[in-house]
Amino acid sequence: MESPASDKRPIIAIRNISKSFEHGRVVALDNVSTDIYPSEVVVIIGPSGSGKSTLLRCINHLETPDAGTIEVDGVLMTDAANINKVRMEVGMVFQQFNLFPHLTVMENICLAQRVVRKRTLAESSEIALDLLNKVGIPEKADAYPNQISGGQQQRVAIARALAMQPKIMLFDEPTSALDPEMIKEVVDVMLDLARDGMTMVVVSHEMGFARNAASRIIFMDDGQIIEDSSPQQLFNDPKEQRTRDFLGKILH
Amino acid sequence: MGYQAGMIGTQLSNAQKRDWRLVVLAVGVALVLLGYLLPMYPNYITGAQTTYSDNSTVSLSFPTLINRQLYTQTTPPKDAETTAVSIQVGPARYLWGSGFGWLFQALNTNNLEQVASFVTCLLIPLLALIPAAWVLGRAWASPNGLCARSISAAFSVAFFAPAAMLCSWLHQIDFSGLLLALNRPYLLPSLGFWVALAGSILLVVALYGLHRELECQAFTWWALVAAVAIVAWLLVKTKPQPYLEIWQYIEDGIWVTLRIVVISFIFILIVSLLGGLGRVSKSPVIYGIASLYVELLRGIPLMVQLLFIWFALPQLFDALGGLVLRLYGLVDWEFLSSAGVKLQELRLSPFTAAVTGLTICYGAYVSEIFRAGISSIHRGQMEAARSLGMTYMQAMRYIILPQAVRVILPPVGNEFVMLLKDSSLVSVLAVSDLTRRGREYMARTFLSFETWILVALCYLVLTLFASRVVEYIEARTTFES
Repeated sequence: MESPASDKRPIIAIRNISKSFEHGRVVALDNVSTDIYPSEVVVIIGPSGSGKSTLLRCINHLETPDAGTIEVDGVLMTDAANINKVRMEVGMVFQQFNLFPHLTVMENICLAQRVVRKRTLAESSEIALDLLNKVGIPEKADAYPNQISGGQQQRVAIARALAMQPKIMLFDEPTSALDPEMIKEVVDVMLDLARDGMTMVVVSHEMGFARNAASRIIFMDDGQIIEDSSPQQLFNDPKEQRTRDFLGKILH
Repeated sequence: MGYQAGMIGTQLSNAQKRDWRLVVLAVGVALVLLGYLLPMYPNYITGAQTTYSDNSTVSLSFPTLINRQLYTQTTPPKDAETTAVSIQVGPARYLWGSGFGWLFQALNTNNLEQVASFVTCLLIPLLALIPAAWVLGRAWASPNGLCARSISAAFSVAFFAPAAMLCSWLHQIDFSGLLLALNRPYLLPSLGFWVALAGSILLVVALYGLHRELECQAFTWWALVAAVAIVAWLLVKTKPQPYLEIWQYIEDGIWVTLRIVVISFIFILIVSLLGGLGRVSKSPVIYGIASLYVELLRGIPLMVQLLFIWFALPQLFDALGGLVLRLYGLVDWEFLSSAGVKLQELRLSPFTAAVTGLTICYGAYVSEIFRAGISSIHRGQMEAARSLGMTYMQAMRYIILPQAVRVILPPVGNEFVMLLKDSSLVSVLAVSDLTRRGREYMARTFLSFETWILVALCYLVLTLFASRVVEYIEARTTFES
């Protein structure tokens, strides 16, 4: 694999981001900066309330940062026009899947392609069927979201995001709402994606995925990046005491 | 011997087939059929002579009983009252005057419209036999046993059968207290009537028992609407005067009411969609305007709003027009002069004023329903749509609103029914709607009871029908699962 550091231009450049909720009483992000390079798979871990989801949601502006700048693929996310342009290039997968319950699986995947990308019905259906094959559930094309399992729903959600042909995929705890026996089918799809060279930012405690696919792991606590290193380094020899404590808790 | 809910859809055992309710039902069916074969009304009135207090008399002869509108339409001379009535009777023509015989005779009448209500009364007990026989047939023969829906349908019809029997007899004596007071034995119905009446009562008892046991719905909706419609129709048909005349007078009012309600409702949906979107908007200006509209208009009674639009708005236009003309004096722009004059002369038609008033008032209520519906959709839906690159409006249009509609529909349907009833208030604006037509008729004739009972029945049929339509649409748009 090509070394990320040799690629000079980061695809996501996060500079001095701060974000607080409830009128400054809860600080979610405190002056966070990092770069993410093309084809990198970055896994963000950390205790709940550490700001990892907020950081992820700031990347496609679902949360507006109070201070700092984010540049995605060379586009500064400031005004509304840029935000929609960037969102087309950034796919997002949510913890609660957030499929559209009034549409079939097929319509879920096709809708944004047609409305945003202005593709025809035939084009979008072809792409959708391709992606459904890729995530392994072509037979569920005409099912409604409440008729399929959680694992299948999450795979449809991944296909829906991929249909926009994004350059970056964001995963917000994609396996946390799943029953244990369904986690693997979703992780497998994510591993495939990583192998294909997709740039991924993943908030997850799925250590199997982190070990196998991550090029970098970021440990966050109290709205700050505590440690940012390779999986081998972080799992075997963490530098910070806080990282060690946290890993001790989740790895038994 | 009882039935459990689980028994619906399973074959009945022999012991269950001998259940008293099913036996009574069978006996009831048999008795009704028997009663319709026995003499029911063997004699009927062929002519009548009425004496009035000024010693004048009017004689009439009827070719058949059911042509009797001649009798009721005879009005006494001025300042005279009916003092005595004498009648002539003759034997019935077909099948000893049995129920079937009378139906046969009615079908041979040229003027079917005049006999329609009598035929309906005779037909209802027979119609009740069809679903009742269906229930029996299923219980005995079908592998699927009892069916709650057919029981509920059978009960809905059978419920009216005894009353219909009684009505058929009242037709024979022309709903006339005078004739009843003559106390002639040949005016009373014969054996067949009593047998069929007993049979129809047994139907009701048996079906009620079954319906209690199976906990099925007592009335299907169409039975209710049909019952009200039949009552209204009987009023018009059996007592043609004054009901027929009232009906003819208020009939066009129904169309005016419907037109106002439907047109207003279309505007209300548009206004409240905008209002609802405004109430969930993040822009403080849009939110503020929408909130001001909703809070202000919900706090003022509809009647006051209508009166304001009708009486106060022209004054407002007048003042505004004056202001524009004053401005014209200052800046001397030609178009200001014509605009000012037009504004001063602007008057809303009663119809426009009514639609405007209803739209503005109900728009505020329904906006809140839209707001609640939109905010009931989980935040994640909007986030997912936005993260796919959709704009706020696209997400609303394709994701939020289609889901919100299912939440919004039931309460909006209720508002439609409320609107139908509240539309009676526009009668203060010189709009000739149903209520105003009723008031006009009453002012002319002082027939207050007859007028308002008919107006009330018209509204009742409209609202019952509307709420059923709403229910149907709701059932069609629930989530597939």
